[in-house]
Amino acid sequence: MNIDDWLSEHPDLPDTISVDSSLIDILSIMLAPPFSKDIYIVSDNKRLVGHLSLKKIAHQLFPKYQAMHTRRQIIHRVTGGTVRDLMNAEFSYAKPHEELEDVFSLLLERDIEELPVIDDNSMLLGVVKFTSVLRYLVDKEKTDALCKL
Amino acid sequence: MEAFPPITLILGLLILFGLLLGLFASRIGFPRVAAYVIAGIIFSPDLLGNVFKFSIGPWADTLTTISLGIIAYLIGGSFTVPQFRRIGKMIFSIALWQSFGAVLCVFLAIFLLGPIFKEIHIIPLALAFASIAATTAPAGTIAVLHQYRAHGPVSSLLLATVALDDAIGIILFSVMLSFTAGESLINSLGEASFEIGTAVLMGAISGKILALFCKHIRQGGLRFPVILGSILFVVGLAEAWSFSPLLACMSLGFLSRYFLGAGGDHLFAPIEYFEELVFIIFFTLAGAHFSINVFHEHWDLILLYFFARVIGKLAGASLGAYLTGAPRNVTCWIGFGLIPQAGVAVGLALTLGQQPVFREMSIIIVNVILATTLIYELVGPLFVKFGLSKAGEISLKEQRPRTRPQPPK
Repeated sequence: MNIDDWLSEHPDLPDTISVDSSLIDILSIMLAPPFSKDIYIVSDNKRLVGHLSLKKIAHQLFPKYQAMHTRRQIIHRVTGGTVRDLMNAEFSYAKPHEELEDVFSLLLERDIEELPVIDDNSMLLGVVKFTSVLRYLVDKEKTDALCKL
Repeated sequence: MEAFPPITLILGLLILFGLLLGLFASRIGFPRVAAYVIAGIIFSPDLLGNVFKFSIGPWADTLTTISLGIIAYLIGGSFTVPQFRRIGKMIFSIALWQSFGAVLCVFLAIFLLGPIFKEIHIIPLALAFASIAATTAPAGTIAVLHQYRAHGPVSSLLLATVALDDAIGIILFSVMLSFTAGESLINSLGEASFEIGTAVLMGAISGKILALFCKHIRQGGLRFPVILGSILFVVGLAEAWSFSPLLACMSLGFLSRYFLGAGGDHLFAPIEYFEELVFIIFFTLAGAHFSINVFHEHWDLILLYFFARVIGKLAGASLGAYLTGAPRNVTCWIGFGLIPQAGVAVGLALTLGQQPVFREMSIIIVNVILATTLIYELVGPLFVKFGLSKAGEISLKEQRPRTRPQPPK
């Protein structure tokens, strides 16, 4: 199965925000049901430009609860880091023509929960969630075992 | 021929013993840094070092240079250009003036009062201590801010200033070191310009290459060797071509983040874990240089450096705040939060021993900085607490210490 087929069966649409959003608004979006640990930053022309995790935003918004800071965290705390400062602009992604097995290998290898899928113009098409793929693989294993019986 | 233990054994013992003592110190509410120093002192030649034939040889210099390179890289990478713009005039003024204040006070104190204490090589000695005086240890200040949930203008400005001043301290140190290389003023100016210019240029070129690498390497495990390799390459190049490894590593950190853009996690997160290890190495190595005789003979220099730096920091910070029209509260009390000094200062002191001008007096420099680090670690947080409470920014409810409750006796 390739990712294009996977997305048509599992149309997981990730949360997206613009680079000018405030961190507290982003946190509210992420904490609203269905709760998500990742959010994607898109430019004005809807291209995917970055990624932020829930933990990173929490660190930035509630620094006084942290006893130790790295130097970067001190500066972020002092200068009130924006989405542009904080976001990870170099993130892992998948392309629609890739095979699901290869993408699952990538999720395992890089220890990530979900992978955005983008086309050649960097437009976000959806996400491949680790748990969804795992559920699919477990079901497949069970079906295969039943077939053998 | 006398058999010396292998370097790896010495280093392993210092790190493990330092860490164990540090963990124990944390449990009983004692500064961890002091425990690392004590671990090193235990293995100094005057104590167990002589029994086990411990020898801190040239390998320690290489290790110190690499470790300081890592710290300089992290300091350089802690800022971005937009963040610089947002920092504001007042913070820059306080950070600059408190650094200059400490440098000037320490230089003048040792230069003018040194002869009374029969110190030899007054000018190099005054220059050496002055160049180290600007740095501050952010950990001690942040711990107090966290413990007392301090908030207000003094706390915010303090946080910004401690984050900036190690960068200023390293720049001042590198510039001073470059100036001591020449034989005349003109010669020194030429040497310094070459060293600083080459360091920034090499840092920029390496930073561009590192950013390109990190852009294309998505496996976290592979980024670490690339970053460490880049730091080692820049440090090695600096040694081979005689330019400042500290400035070059700071440029590497700053410019690689600039070229990569955003976050910076890929460039710094793999190395940030190393900061504590680097400080354990600095403190235990410095502790291993401990000499009872030097302590005994130079106690006056220890006190002189301690008080001159405190006065310089207080006066400089107040002046910096006053010049930018800061509120009276900030002008009066911010300096008290800038007293702690630890890791970077010890690293710089160890580095000075590698310079021909300071080699003869390196044992004095390391021992004085070692002693004052211990004093600053013990009294520094009290200064911070005093300043913040006078500024009215400490809440009465102190956070519960994160130690396990003791069973009833």
